[in-house]
Amino acid sequence: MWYESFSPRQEKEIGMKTHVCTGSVAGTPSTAATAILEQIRQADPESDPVLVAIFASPSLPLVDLVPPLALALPRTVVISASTAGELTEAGDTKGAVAFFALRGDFLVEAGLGRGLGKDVRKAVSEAIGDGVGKTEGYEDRVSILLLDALSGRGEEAVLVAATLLGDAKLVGGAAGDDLAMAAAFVGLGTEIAQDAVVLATIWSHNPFGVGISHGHEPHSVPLTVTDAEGSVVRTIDGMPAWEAWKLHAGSLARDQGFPEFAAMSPSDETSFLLRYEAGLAAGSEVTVRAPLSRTADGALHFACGIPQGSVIRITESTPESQIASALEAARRARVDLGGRPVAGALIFDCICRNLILGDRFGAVAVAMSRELGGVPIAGFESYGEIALDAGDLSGFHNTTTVVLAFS
Amino acid sequence: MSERNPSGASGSTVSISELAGYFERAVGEERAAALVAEACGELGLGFGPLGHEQARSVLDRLTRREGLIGIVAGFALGRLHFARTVKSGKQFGEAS
Repeated sequence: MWYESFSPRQEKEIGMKTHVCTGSVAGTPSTAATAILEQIRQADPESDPVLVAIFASPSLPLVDLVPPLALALPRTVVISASTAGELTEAGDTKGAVAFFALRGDFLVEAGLGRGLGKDVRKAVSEAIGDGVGKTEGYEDRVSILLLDALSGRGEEAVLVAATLLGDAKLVGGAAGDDLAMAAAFVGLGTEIAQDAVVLATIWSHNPFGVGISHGHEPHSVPLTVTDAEGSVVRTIDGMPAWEAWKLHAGSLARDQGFPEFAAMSPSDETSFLLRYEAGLAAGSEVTVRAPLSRTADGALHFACGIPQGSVIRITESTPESQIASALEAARRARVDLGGRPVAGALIFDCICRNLILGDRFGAVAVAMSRELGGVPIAGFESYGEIALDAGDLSGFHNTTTVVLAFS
Repeated sequence: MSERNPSGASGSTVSISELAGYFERAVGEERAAALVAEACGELGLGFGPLGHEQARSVLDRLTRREGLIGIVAGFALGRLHFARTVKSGKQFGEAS
């Protein structure tokens, strides 16, 4: 476990105004780290942020990028995740870094747990540590979870965290790797790890606004998972899962301009799977589950457990509903603040949405900032999105937009 | 965020569909209903409304399952306890 905490009250007066600074930089890890540090310090040379979140493409490895930043900001909790794309209020990027720096009267505690795939309870417990407990005078809290969903334990990690934290509000995202589906990393301070989870809890005098929305609808007939173990689905309706996907989503894919299956590259296959995801019915709602990759024998690997016997429907979505759902998530986060002005927001947005929206994805990021009041935002394109409030019964999502607004 | 909370409607008893509701978002409604029915069958319980201790025993039974189902069941136990605590006006930490 790696654990950090920081109280601004040691140096700052209670009630200091919330300030968010965001930005997008490219270059080498070294030049990017220098540029981020400069921008953070230019925003307020007098104080360090309480929290910095770094979202970086695998082309700028976190292990090279983040430690110099963390060492230069010893009084700041620095959390990080590798991405499948980055976004700010200026739009989206590939092969770059987006950062989010938070200043104000907050308490921040964070931990990192390893071995998520092998023992999810142990990893999440390590990330929570002993430090989370209500802090006098700070009535509101939110916990940010960053995790490696290639471990196949996305939902499991969220529910274990919710169980251990009680009534905490949870948000976050699953790290990406530019759709390679090979290795995703999260970090806390100078510690960067694969198959790991980071949990940062922020305490505030002011409420946090959370918004979530997705735009997917069921397309296929109900399909039964007939052989599965953990996050690996081997067969659906008795046939290899990949064959079932081809059978039930193939015509949709052809209509959308995907190549014939025989001509698909591995990258095309990933895009196909992320475009037509699984949906679990829950009344009138659908929980979306992303198949991340397939094996040679036709099994599909998901970002969290899919129990044998589950009934799924392959889903689809239009660009229009993806745009509407992103703006709805931003609106809900703003409304959740109860009229307080938004200072800035963290965005956890699925790479699948980028695959559907294409060139329009960046414009939607700009529009989300506008919906929040023209504030700075930063986030990343993830392999799973996390949002769970007190009373919610599930917290891991796919093809979803999650917005955490600060006031 | 708006998700259905089956515990929100609970009174002195818990219906089978309320219990299944705890699992729907994570495993889908069909599997959720089957899971609860299986556990009720294993415990020799009928499919009518359950008392809180019976509901707890169903969830406790499901916590023994491997993987996601066991984790969801553990999470649901906490939610069921929370719902009852709120309903009865008890404070956290008081014996239930």
